[in-house]
Amino acid sequence: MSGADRSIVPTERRPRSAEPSRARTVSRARARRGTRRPRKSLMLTAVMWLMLIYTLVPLAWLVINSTKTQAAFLSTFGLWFSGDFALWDNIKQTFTYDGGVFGRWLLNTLLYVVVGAGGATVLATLAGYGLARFVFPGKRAVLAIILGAIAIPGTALAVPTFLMFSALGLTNGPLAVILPSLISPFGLYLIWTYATEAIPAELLEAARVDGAGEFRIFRSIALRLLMPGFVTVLLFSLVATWNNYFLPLIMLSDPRWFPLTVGLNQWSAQAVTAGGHPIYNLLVTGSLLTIVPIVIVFLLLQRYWQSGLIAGGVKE
Amino acid sequence: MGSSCQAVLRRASLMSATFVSPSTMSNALLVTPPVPHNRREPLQRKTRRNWSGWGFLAPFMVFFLFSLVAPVIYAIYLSLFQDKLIGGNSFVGLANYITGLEDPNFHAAFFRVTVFFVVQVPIMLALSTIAALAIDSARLYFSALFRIALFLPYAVPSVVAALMWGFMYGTNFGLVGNINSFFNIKIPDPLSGNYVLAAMGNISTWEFVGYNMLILYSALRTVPKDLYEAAEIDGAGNFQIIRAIKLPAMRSAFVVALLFSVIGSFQLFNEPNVLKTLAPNSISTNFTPNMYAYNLSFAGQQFNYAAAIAIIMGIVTMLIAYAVQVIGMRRENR
Amino acid sequence: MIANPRMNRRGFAGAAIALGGAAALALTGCGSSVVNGGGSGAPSGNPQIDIDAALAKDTTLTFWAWGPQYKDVVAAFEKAYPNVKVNLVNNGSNNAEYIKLQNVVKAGSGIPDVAQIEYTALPQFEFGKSLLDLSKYGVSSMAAKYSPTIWSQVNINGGIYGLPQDGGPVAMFYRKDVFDKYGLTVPTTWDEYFAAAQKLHAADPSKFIASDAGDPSFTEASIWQAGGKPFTVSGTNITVNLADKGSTQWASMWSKLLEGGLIDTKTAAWSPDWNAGLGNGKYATWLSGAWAAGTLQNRIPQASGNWRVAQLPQYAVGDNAAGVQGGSSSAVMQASTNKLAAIGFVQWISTNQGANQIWVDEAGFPAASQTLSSDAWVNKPVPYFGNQNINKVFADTLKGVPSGWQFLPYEIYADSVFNDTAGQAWANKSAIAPGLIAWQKVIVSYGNQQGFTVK
Repeated sequence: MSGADRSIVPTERRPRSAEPSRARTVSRARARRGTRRPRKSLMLTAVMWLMLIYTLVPLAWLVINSTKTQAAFLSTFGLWFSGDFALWDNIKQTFTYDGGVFGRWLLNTLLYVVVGAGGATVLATLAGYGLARFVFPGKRAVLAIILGAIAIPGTALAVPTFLMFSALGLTNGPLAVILPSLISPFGLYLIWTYATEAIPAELLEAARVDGAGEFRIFRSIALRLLMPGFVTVLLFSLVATWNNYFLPLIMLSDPRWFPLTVGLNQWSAQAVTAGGHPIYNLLVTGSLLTIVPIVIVFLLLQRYWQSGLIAGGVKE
Repeated sequence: MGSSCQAVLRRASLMSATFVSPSTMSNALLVTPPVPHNRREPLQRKTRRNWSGWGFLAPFMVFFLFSLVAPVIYAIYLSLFQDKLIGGNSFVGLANYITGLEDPNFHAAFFRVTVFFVVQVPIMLALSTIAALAIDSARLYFSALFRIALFLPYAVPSVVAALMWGFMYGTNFGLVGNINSFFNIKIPDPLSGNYVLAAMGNISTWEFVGYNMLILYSALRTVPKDLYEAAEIDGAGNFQIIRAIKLPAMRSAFVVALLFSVIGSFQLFNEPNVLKTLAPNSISTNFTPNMYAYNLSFAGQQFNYAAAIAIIMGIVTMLIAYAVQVIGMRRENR
Repeated sequence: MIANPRMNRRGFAGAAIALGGAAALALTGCGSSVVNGGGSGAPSGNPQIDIDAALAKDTTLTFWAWGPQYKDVVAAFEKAYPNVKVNLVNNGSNNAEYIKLQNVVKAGSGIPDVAQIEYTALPQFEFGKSLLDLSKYGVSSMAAKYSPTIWSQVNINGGIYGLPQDGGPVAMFYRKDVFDKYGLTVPTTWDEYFAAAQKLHAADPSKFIASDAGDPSFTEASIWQAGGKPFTVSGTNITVNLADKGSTQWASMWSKLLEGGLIDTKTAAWSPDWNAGLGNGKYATWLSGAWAAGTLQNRIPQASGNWRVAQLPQYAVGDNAAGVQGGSSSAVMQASTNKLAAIGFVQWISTNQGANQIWVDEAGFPAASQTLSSDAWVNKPVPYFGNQNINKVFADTLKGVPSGWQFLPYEIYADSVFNDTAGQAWANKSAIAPGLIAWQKVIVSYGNQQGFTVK
């Protein structure tokens, strides 16, 4: 196994070796730009600041109102704090309300995300690689089917999916959420296009000539070259499955299996009912707690893109 | 799967824009295999013609057929029947489709999302373009901050976004009410009949302007620096550079962003559904085609008719998406 | 027993039971199954014995309910019957739960044993044959334990499809402080109500006599009070007449308030804005079912001491009529695999004295006649309402509910399209009668399309 690998010396670890010269070009251009155009535009910055405020106001609203008690929430100014700082109390209440169901929802979401997003990425990578590097009968048909199936509105597919799954006894459990989320059609496209560009055919041919099996080739050569794409698809699938809402809403009738989004919706609906017990402060705090992990992932993702843009190189 | 599929769709398009030239991406959408741009590769680049490709594709296809294709087939099957409360199930052929095409409720819903698309998408894409250009121009202080912050709303689940904005739109104790009493003005109730569509447009714009901005920005980053140098040497001014270099570079990415915005607009569901409890008279059960299908299924137990509506919407969406692509590509090749 | 029952209602209840018995006989074709019958298949002829036996075995029941009082009631039940474990699941309230329930019934899996179903939705589930007919288990003999008005609501087509848990006779909740401040007298007729509304709004345009953004259950309860019977259901023949005498009478009265801008139509019920309005005196009255007393105490604690309860305004001086809004029963699902234990559970939570006490202590409205007539309940001063004996008002109101009201077998759908059609009258502050006609049209066309014969 390793013997075969060692005999293959990849001529390039990265898809494009233009990086060094490109970096030089960039820095040269930047330097030139810098000397030619020293001014930063205040006016442009002001316009952009307006956009920034527009973007951040609701998030600020969320943070500020998580610190309020319910009574304060309903009576004080929306964009500033009330007298009491109740954030820790709200968080505690969020996690203990209704027998700690929020914590359960959090664990459910983690399960769905790890298995669903992880699985989706693996499947998409395998399939994308297959589509990129092999010619096989039925390939165009596959593409047409994939594209066609995406265009049908998901909301309307929910009911047939629900009926189908219940006939199989799959509803009301984690599989009902995980199975549909294992399909990532554009993860597929992404890996497919990335594999086409990033994995030179000669490399694979050389390996095959050396007698390596297809899967071994994939594992030891292709996967390493595909890694940036793989991680990207993984990260975006994570976000998508974390925010998955509609299908779980239909599929699950046992609140113990809800993901966070569906659980929050239930808390919200609870307020709008005759016998219901409104818990606006918990709803707001719960929403904040739902967003925070994803924002953190996003911020980590930012760094990844930066390197991806420079290293991945690309295109004419 | 539906809305998360949409979400992944959008996210992955961003990825493609980052790693692949946007024209390749668009080509991919037209169901053409992408052509690698490495000039060192001979034209005949594919390897074995055998079945081992299926080995890699098979796991994906298994789940795909199960989770996506089977329900579509089942939906088509359902749409050919009618299950009445009295009289049970019976085959009705295309009757559901004919009813759907003549249904004024469906027309109203369809008209509404078309209006939404025609107004909200250009505004949002214009804002995204301005933002992308501004950030790329290196004339901003803290441009990285803008890039990150503008993108944040994308991380927020649409349910949470709708809830937040719903609270803020409150005229009594919400932000609108606060502003009204503070400035002594009377902003009209955003959730009232005349304004509710605009209010939802605002939520959608808020959610996606950063995402679209990043697609366009990534395309801008692929412009080779020598082009800018050449333009400066030629003495081109700022706006000329934008018009001659940047906008054309963004064109393919723009088509991609437009495409997903179209599909998203026609499938509008989460925001009206969440806001309906706050505005029951402004948001009808047939506010958007997806809501109509949802309420037909669940409140009216008319699964068959709902399936027919869904299929109709799917076909219409596919046609419009195709049209957008063709027009976009034609422009590019001019 | 309720003191001084009206003759015709007791007669009606008795007739209903007799009729129910005859119908059940005809349906089941089995002579002795109505009162003492052994429909359970067990050797003993008395289902009650079988039920008690079932409760002694190890069982787990799933119960879908959303009311806040159920939690403690269920806990008490588990203490009384340690072998039975009850999973209380909150799957949303009214329509949200009904939709889920319909879905799982259609799918055939995930169906609970017991579900909280309001009286308005009970006919729909009965029609779908997804509920267990409790009359086959000797439950009909329990009729005496409940208020006849409320008992008639679980009695559909001769069967008993749920045991009443609470009720919702409509009364007028009003803000004493607001009435005092603006010198309003508590109205006893609708004309007086209208006058009070005008006076209030003229004195302070930011205040309203009530908030109503268009609600089907309130509308139906109001038509009920006016003596209207818009829905007549007999088998698969339905007659819909939302322009009958009662409907028109109410519609024209309420339209006056709408068109005069005296009612806040912009705030959705149960929204934070609405909450705030009830708390700060923006709405001087709230016309709602008796369960609203519990709602006020739970949701609007800051207004404690300011609310009072009075009889709903009448069309003529001296009348005593009221509709019923809401109120839930506990129904056993046909698909349950623990039928006997489920029936025992439902019997216990609705009639056991301890359970009733918990229910009432947590501001629930009782359906059990022993509580409704008990001095302790009727004459209990409630601090939130300024130590008023509010329950006495409710008890009196319950006596005045007109009989013969029916709901549609697709009430859930009809309610879902109310805002699309009739609701526009509220949105435009215009006459209600045309809105009701629009609603009627949709109801009729849906019914016909589904195979009923609707006119």
